[in-house]
Amino acid sequence: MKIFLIVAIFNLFILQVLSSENNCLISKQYYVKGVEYFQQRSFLLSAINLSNAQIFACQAKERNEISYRYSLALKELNEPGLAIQELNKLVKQAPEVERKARLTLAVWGVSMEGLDNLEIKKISNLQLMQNNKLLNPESFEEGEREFVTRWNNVHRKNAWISGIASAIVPGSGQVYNGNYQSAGVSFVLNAILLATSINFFDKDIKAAAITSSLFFSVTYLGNIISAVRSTHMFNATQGGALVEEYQNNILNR
Amino acid sequence: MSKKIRLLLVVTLCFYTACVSPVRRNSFLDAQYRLVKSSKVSPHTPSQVVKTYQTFISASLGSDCPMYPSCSRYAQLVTSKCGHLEGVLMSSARLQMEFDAQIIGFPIILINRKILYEDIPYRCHF
Repeated sequence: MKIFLIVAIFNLFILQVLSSENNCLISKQYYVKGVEYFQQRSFLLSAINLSNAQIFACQAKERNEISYRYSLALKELNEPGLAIQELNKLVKQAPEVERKARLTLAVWGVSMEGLDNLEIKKISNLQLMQNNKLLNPESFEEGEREFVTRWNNVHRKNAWISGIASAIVPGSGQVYNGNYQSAGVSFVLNAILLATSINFFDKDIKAAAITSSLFFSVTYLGNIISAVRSTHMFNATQGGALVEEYQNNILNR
Repeated sequence: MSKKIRLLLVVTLCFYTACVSPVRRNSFLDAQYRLVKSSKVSPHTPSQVVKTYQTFISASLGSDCPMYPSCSRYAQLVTSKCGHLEGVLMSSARLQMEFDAQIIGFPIILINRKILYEDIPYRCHF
């Protein structure tokens, strides 16, 4: 009986070891898949795989690293609340990824707690870049001056100019942004509606005049909004790669 | 100016402007997920007005919106989220932007070998 019990316990122990080895392999496979999907910008599939990898992870160190990547995928999926929650847990419980988690929280604009002066300076510079402001080369180290020059030389457009141009002549703001088809459509649409409204007012057909004026006001304001929005998007696209480069530099990615 | 030179000028301008803005490609699954999370109304169930427009008017006009979500659905989502005034203005702005969606820099998603430009209304502006 005793021998039977000893053999049974020993077998259970071996099974546990084997299944935990299996779990480690499964976790690694999910992690590799999750990272692959992240690099392909399929963040939902990445998050699912990383979440499964977390479940099967057998070492705390691995689980923390997976959690960190999972929070990055959540942020890309527009779930900042959940992502920040994950990182705050890592800051408290995971010394190996604590520094990375603190830097990531600072980069996301959540908190600069626990950072040194140099890191705070870099985060402030990043925030200036995210707001599309010009950088002062003197506040950077020697090795980064070239990066500052590249940032300051990025081709930018002024949203005020495109908005005011579109207000004066519908479609001119879009021309300023380089969107010629949209400019043509805005101009023609607004011209037709304005001409129709004036025509109806001249002929004293009040109901039709008011209706076409309302349509004109909607397309006119929409034209200004679209010019300003496309300027902002243009600026974000032009500088986006440099912002990402600086961000990866801060996070040592 | 002869027709050929005018055509060449237009093609060159389009090529130049297309080259100016680098385009980012997003996953359709991610776009659907983000759309569901950002919407107060179900993005998969259009309202009666939008359904009527899509069934009768849009089909007869033969329009094919290059954006995701489509302009009629975008109008419904923004109106339900931000109010009627902003809904009308943002929809009008979007209609005037969609012709140059790639040049402006909207991320692209591929659905059934078709390229659509992602423009999900995450937040209200006014």
